[in-house]
Amino acid sequence: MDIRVTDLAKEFGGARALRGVSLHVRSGELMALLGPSGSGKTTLLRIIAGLETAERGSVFFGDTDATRLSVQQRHVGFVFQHYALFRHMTVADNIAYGLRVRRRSERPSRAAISARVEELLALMQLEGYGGRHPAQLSGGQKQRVALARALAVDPRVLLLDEPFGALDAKVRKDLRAWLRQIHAQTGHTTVFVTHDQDEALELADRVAILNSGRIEQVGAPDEIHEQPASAFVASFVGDAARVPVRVLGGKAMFGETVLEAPGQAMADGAGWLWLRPYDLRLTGKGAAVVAGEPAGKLDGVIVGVRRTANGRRVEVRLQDLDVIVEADAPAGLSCGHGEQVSLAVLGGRIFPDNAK
Amino acid sequence: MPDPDLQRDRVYVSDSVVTEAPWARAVIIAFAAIFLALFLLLPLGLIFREALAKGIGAYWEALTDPDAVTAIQLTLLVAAIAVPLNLVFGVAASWAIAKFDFPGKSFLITLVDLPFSVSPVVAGLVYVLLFGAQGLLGPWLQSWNIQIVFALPGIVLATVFVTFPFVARELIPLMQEQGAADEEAALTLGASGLRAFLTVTLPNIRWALLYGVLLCNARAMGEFGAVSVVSGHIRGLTNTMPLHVEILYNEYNFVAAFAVASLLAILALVTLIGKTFLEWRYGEAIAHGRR
Amino acid sequence: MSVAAAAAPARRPFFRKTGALPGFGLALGYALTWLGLIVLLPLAALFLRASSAGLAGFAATLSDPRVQHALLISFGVSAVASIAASLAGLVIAWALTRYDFPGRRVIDAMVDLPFALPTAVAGIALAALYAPDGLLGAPLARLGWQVVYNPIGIFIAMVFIGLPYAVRTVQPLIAELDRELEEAAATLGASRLQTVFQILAPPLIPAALTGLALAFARALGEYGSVIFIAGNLPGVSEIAPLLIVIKLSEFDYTGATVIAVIMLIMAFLVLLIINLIQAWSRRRMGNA
Repeated sequence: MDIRVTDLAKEFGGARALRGVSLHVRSGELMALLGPSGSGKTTLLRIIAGLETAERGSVFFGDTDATRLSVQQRHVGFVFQHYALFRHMTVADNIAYGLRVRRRSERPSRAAISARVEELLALMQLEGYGGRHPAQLSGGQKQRVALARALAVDPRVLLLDEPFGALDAKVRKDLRAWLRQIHAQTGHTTVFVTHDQDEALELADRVAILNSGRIEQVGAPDEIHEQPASAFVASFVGDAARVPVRVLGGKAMFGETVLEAPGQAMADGAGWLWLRPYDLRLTGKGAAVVAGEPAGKLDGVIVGVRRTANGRRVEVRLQDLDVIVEADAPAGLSCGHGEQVSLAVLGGRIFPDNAK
Repeated sequence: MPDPDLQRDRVYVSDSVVTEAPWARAVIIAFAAIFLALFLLLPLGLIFREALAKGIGAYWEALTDPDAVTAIQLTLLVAAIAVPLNLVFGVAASWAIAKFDFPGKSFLITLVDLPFSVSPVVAGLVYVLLFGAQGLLGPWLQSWNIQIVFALPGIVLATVFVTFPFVARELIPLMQEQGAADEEAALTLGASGLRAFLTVTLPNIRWALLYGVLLCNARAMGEFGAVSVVSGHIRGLTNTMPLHVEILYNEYNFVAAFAVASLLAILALVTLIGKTFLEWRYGEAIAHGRR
Repeated sequence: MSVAAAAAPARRPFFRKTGALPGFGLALGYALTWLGLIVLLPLAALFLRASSAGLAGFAATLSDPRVQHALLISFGVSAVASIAASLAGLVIAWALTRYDFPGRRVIDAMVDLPFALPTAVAGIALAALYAPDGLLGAPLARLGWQVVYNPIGIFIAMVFIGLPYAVRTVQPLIAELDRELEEAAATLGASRLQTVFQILAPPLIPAALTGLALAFARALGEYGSVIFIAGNLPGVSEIAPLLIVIKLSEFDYTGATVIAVIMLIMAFLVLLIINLIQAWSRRRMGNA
């Protein structure tokens, strides 16, 4: 079942949480809502669930207009940030809750309910935990119970609010892979909220980036990372440094240096060039231009070197400017503190100065 | 089932050398123990000693005196009315305050607490001024032949007033801390609002509710000042147990006075034991245990 | 009890307006109606009555030396008793929180006795205990001290009922004192006394003041536990609440109302002071 929201707007006590958000989540898709805190991503999720009402706009599940439906009628699976497990019930009772509260005519038999609970416990790798209380579970186990409880009612869509936010790094990683697997098995249209870009990019089919109540970009993780649609996305996703440039006749000028590579069409004027580490190739000062590489280079001084698991990340202060960019050092290049280096610009994105 | 980890003793007993010298420690403990023994235990013990001063027979006689029996019955009746009223109010007020946001909320919490700061005598007085023969609504009530002051309704109203904040006070901080996510989870799973309240909210607050009811009941049965003002002291009719104690004491019938008082003292002890048990066993589930 | 109000940390819960949760209108409407009927309307009646008495009514009542003396006794003894209760409460709370000793749990539970024990019961027990032929009164009488039927008796009763408030407001804060703070002070060369007064005491001051204010408010309004031990001699050991009762029984409604309004305004002031102390302490130390 696909989810289609159009032009949602919402205020909380004078503060705009959403300012006209439209989004289409395809059937069976795993979509991430990514943004800084206060960007409106949780509000959007809660409006889809029916836990909040929007002032404007509509929510469709498939062809059904769900805008006026109550949260019960929407039939969504919702996993809360802090799980919201009912602490006085056992794990099995928690999972069965959504089936037991149904009207008698729609309620499965007692045996069917317990069979469903067992099936979900197995799916969640929680066999034997049915009799425990939430307080006796670890964070990761609670998270899986919360997911089982949401799935028990065969929801139309699955919505998760910061599903891994309260877990430590190791459990996070395991649960990510495992959520991906569950999604592949059950095929629910799934939307999850996160402020962790790694999580969004690694897990989701597509990512929607939110900022100040607006959607900045929707796209596959590669697209988001490689072709950011706005300066905000460029800065929010991945490491990027910002260099002031002038655009003249389609070419970016940094001081007197012409940078040819970032070949986006842009009107003449001041702009910012966003550079990721892989957009730059570090060479010694005055090194010969490699064939096929643009001639324009940035000169600078090394101000820091960090050893990472996969190589060396070098911080370079650009000449005449208080801007530090990061690049990966090729093996064999001497990278002492204070050494003069050059950076070949292989890529990057330019956004006009008026945008953030 | 509460997590055993969460029931740790709240006392911080440390092996750290950074603490008071042993003699200072001993002096402080001795002061606390002697002070509390003299101030609290001695009066309590005295009640039972005086009550049994002339033997168990006199004690029993005092308790089975018809006036004493009616006083006991009236006290139970008043508590049976006043406590449920405040229970419903407490749940409603804390539901609104803890689960929703609205302007003037902290002012409302202050108003709920207000009766704590009002002298019981003043609490009784306001009802006399409102419903008494010379009160604002007195003539009107008289024309309908409704008696509030110097009758059961007045005693109940005064009792409700002085016990007003007890249940709400226990529930508000707990429910604020629990937030609304559990109820929202129940709603997303298809439960109606009422169902969510009954199956999720109530179990979450049951021990705090019991705790509040316990304290509310103790005060309701023991209230003296406010009830004294509105009751009119009509023996065998509008005398509650505390008022009966006063009458007997002023008649120099000490054995009978302390006999009835001993029942109230037992109520206090039961309340304290129940309170301590709840704090110890369900500390995480009541606001008081979490301090 | 309001001890909890003073001690509960002001945590903001996660929640939103216009959410899906039902019952807001019903719950708030019911709560406000009930609050209005039980608390606000009767208190309004009191102020209405007081305003109809006018300044002349106030002046007439307040010029009576008996009223003046009762108010003086009530405010004066309440102030002294709540200070005494607070000091004793600090020591008791410290002992109960910092040390373990046999019977600690029982004593800890007993602290709430004055709160749970009906005031009239406490009143006759204290009166009998301190009477000239009483268990404590007799030895004191031999020393030449009489404590009943004078302000000392009132003082004893007021300390009794104020004690739980004094202990319970500071106890949670003592429990939260960070061990590392005093260890840090010790490593920096502070003596134990310096540590106690310069490091450990300051964070307790707002709570101690709150406890003092609560004990004062309770002592000021107290009736049942005081009247038996006080003896109620006009001009000597008669407290304001008792005078309200006497005025009422004499059908002097104006006199009763005037004294009540003064006490009520005092109670509001105490509430305000408690709120200010807590706001101040939150600003300064991030806790209440």
